[in-house]
Amino acid sequence: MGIFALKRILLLLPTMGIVMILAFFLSKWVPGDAAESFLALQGVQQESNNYKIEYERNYKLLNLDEPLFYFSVIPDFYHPNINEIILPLQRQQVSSLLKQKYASKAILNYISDRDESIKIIKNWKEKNGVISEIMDELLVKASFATEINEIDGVWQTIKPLIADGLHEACPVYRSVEKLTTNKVHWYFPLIKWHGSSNQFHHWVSGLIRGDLGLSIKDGREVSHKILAALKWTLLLAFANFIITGIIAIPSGLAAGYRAGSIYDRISNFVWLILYSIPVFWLASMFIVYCTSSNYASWLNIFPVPGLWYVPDGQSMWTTVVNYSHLLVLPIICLVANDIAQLSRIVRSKVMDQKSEMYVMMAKAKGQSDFKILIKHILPNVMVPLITVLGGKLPAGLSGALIIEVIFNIPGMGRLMYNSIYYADWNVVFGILIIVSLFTILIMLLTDILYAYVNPKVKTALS
Amino acid sequence: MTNIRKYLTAYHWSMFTLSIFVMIGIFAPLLANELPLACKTPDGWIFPALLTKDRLVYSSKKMQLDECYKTLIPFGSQNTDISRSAAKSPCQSQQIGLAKHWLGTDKLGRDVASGMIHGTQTAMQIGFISVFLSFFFGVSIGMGAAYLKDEGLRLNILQILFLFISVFIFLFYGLYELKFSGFDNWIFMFYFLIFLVGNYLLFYLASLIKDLKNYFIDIDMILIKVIEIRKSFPGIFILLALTTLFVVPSVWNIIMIITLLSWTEFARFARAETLVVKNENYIVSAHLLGFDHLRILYRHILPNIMSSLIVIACFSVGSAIILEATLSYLGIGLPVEQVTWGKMMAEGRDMQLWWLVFFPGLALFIIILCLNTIADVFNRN
Repeated sequence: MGIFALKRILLLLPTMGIVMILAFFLSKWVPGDAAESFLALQGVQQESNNYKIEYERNYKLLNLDEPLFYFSVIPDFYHPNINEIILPLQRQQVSSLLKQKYASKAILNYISDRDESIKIIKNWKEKNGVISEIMDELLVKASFATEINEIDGVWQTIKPLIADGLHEACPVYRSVEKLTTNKVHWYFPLIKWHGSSNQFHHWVSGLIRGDLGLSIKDGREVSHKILAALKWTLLLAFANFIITGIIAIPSGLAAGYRAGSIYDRISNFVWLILYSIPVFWLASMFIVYCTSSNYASWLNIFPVPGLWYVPDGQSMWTTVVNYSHLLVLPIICLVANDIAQLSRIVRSKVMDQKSEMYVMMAKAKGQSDFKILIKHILPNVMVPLITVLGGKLPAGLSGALIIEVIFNIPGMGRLMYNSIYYADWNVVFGILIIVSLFTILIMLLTDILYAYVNPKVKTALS
Repeated sequence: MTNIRKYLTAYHWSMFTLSIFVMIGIFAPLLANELPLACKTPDGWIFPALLTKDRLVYSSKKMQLDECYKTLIPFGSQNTDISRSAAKSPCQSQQIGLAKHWLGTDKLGRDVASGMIHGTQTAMQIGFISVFLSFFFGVSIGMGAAYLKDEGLRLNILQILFLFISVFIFLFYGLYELKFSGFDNWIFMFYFLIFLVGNYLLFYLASLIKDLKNYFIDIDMILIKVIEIRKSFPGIFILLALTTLFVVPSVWNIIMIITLLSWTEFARFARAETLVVKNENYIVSAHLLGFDHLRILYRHILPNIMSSLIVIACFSVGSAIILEATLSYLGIGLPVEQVTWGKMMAEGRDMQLWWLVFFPGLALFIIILCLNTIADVFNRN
């Protein structure tokens, strides 16, 4: 048994690794600059004097200056690690010029020469008291230009405007020429090894320590936010799990045992209808009709889904008791689909088991129907149900998302939804990776449990 | 016998209802449009709702036209009318301008009936196109993997080497050219053609060299791993994370994402069913008759696993439509101006307007019920 579990765990490790790699690269693909959002969170304005220094500090603090992965496969003219360039504008210019296939050395050369030349020209202007708006405009344009034609054009227009011979002092003219001659037409792949100082490595080691970074919305730790939300989602999932089991299993057992009876037909029909109802339609209909006396006063059964106030120190139990009346409607909506699905599955499993020899044997012994169902059929039905129920738990997490959003329950789904609106990517992808790892864990547990309770697998293993 | 007849009628009803929805989806612009269907001009008939070039003629000559045939519901889904008819219930008395709003209006005065019809178009597009694509890819991959499981794909060391190198080169140059010059169908096709031809040639050359040890490539194992990875990302979370990556929301992005997420389900079932069918006697005899692999796959295996695949397809269409409605209910992924069922329901919930919630949800419910009934019938057979 232990060996089997170990084998399953070892088989799941590569899956876990790939899931982490995928989640990480997805999180790096989103628009926006993480360092900039953190500066905004700290209240550092773009106009303030220390913006550059603060940006650099944050950029290095978030490890954004490191390469993404352990190795990178790049064209040979490329910059080995474009993240090293700290200023965002410069980084954009370099990558835009790289896209036009210019060699990275020439690009870096051009950028430093350009900055130096602009300084030289400004100095010259100050010394000679030249006031020219066109000149200022051109210089700004020169510092922002990324297309090679534009760059060349701007510097050629500047040339006659400055003093004779000054353009010889500006290194930019030479470097622009160099840039145009350094256009690459053919390139080869270059595999560059970066070692363990990369962003993925830091992210994974943070994940293992339980550190998922900070939320850019309020600066709290992502892991704390997720833990606080996870409690609610798990509460909903377990409530769903238990209520579904209590209602669906007996009803499925009875329907399967008396297949074709009136009860079976009615329950089949009801479950088919219930199974087809979209959850959020049910929830919206309840909210529209049953939470106010707009349509009829007797319909005002349920409380309006309200805002939850959960103080930091308050225990979960107190909150649940306080808000229990608000939890009734969400749980009804959550279980509706699942009861129907599960009871149909149980019914078909019972119908399979009913014609087995051991049931006939029990009947021949004169046992009552109830005893046959509970003692003989139920254990045999439960074994294949483990896989079904194991699959339901992670599916319950996704199913709870829209219910949480509709009913304002502060769970994972609601957190994810809000974080997407705030572009709070650390939280969004933190939730994604936590939920995925949780799903993998459940898959593992169901596999082991299945092997444990199923004598066939057990004997095959030993 | 009576049982079968009962299910047959339910099945027929479901198919009939479903095809009506599909028809509404296809002909949505002709059913609900602020432009008339046909107008008589001195120069002959024009069809503004149908043809773009007639739209200009219509708008320039609007005053002079006397004989016009309106569409069934003479409102566009995006026509707002806040002053006259905002948030009107279907039961309420309405100031009738153009026509009665049969299903009421939303808070901006958009006609709900028209929104329902245009929402049907979006739902049907997403439901059927995404399932068609994932059916195609998923079933091909799943059947292929199961078919190659035992006798397998045996390659010698040179072929494996070529395979690795060519995949690497294709991915490297393909992706970087994509980055440098944007997506171009022809360049992509060109690269892919070079990749295929080069690969084939190299494979052929490598197979000429005898006396090399053959290694078994377990495609089935790779597929199982891919399915496992997909399963570890739970549905709506990964869908939300993926939709946020796109800057410009559109229906086709949603279709692509749903396809990307749901093909593994088809692959899983096609694989399992193929494994069962593969060792049957008629497949073995087809092998003995010397039929080629593609023929065996598509003429002998596919028809036999089709009915269980249709069950999955029915459920997938339903869940794709539900996913689209969920996304637009949450206000994510589709363009702001596009009217969909989910958006109407979200608005109805916020404003406590029953007709905005009831009708779109009812349509969703009927579609899902029909699909489930069809799936049930196929499951029984």
